[in-house]
Amino acid sequence: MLELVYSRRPSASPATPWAESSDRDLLLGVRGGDEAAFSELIGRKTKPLIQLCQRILGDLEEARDVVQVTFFRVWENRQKFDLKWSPNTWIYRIASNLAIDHLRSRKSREKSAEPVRLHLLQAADSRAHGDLSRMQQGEVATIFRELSAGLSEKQRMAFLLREVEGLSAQEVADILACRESTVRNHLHNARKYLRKELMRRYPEYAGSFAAPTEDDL
Amino acid sequence: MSCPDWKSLAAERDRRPEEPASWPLALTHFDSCTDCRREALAADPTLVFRRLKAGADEMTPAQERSEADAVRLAVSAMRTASRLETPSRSFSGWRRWSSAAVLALAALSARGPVPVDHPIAPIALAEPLPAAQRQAAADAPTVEGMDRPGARVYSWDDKDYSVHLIVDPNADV
Repeated sequence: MLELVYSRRPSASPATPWAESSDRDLLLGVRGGDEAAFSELIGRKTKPLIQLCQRILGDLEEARDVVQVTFFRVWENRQKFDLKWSPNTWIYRIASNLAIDHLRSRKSREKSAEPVRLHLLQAADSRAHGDLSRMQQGEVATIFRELSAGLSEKQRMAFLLREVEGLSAQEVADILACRESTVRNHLHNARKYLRKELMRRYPEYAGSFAAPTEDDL
Repeated sequence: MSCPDWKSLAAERDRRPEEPASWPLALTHFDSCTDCRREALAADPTLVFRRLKAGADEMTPAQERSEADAVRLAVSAMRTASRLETPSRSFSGWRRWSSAAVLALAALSARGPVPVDHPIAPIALAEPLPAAQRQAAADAPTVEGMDRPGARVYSWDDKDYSVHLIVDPNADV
């Protein structure tokens, strides 16, 4: 008697066994101790994490250090990954906490002042040499670094994760371990402070966009 | 999509912490439309920080691969260091020395405590013991695995006692 047997033609294998897996499946593989899944995870998340940490810390080298430790922590704590979290939330949370610890340890407000001045001088120099587009991008990063030193850690994180990274308020709340309403308050206060300080410290820069309102002054 | 009314959107956003429902769409529009960018920045100068994201995307695929490879190497080194650190942590510092002391006391108690009035001389393990010491060692506790690198045996003998002090940083008691 003939029996129906399901068979599937083997498809061309991808570059790595995890290359086409979702982030969630990847983290489940990592949780099971799969080295290839971990390698693929590093390949996928290194760039966004370095960018996030660089914005938080204002320094590429420090961002690299934090990202390395982040992945080490991911591996060491892989059993703790819970399916109720989105993969990004879990990894971003580890990275954010490490970056905040890093900020605290180096007392960035005092130490960052001098590099900011130097960078602005370099920016002005590049403007003189006509490299306007590059200068503007670097200058925005420098200005953010300087102004955000006046924000609390949670305000800075909320602003970066929501406004720059584009995560949802709920995701930001999960990362910062607080309520969504708290995130909205952090964001509201961060925007208000940044707007006010932008007008006050860089009137020539912000002035080209907007005149300060009474509320800003 | 037509350009949003940035002035009213920004004013609404400033009034209360909750974002206007159309704000996420407006942001998407802001990232792609150059016609209303100036108006948007005039309404909310903090939108300039959206450029932080644009600037970060400059990393090329080759740079991205290189960064990932560097992270893989660093994490691998950290994991190796962590593995090596774990066993030594379980037998470090005071535990190692207290173990050595216990061994010494055990050897002493076999013959009873006797005051020591001469310095302790280290004896290389590979050197053959003199006949008298070999006789004394025959009665002393035997220790296995002393051919390990880094291990040293300090011993001194007298007619009434014999002490062997074993120091092995790699010993696991």
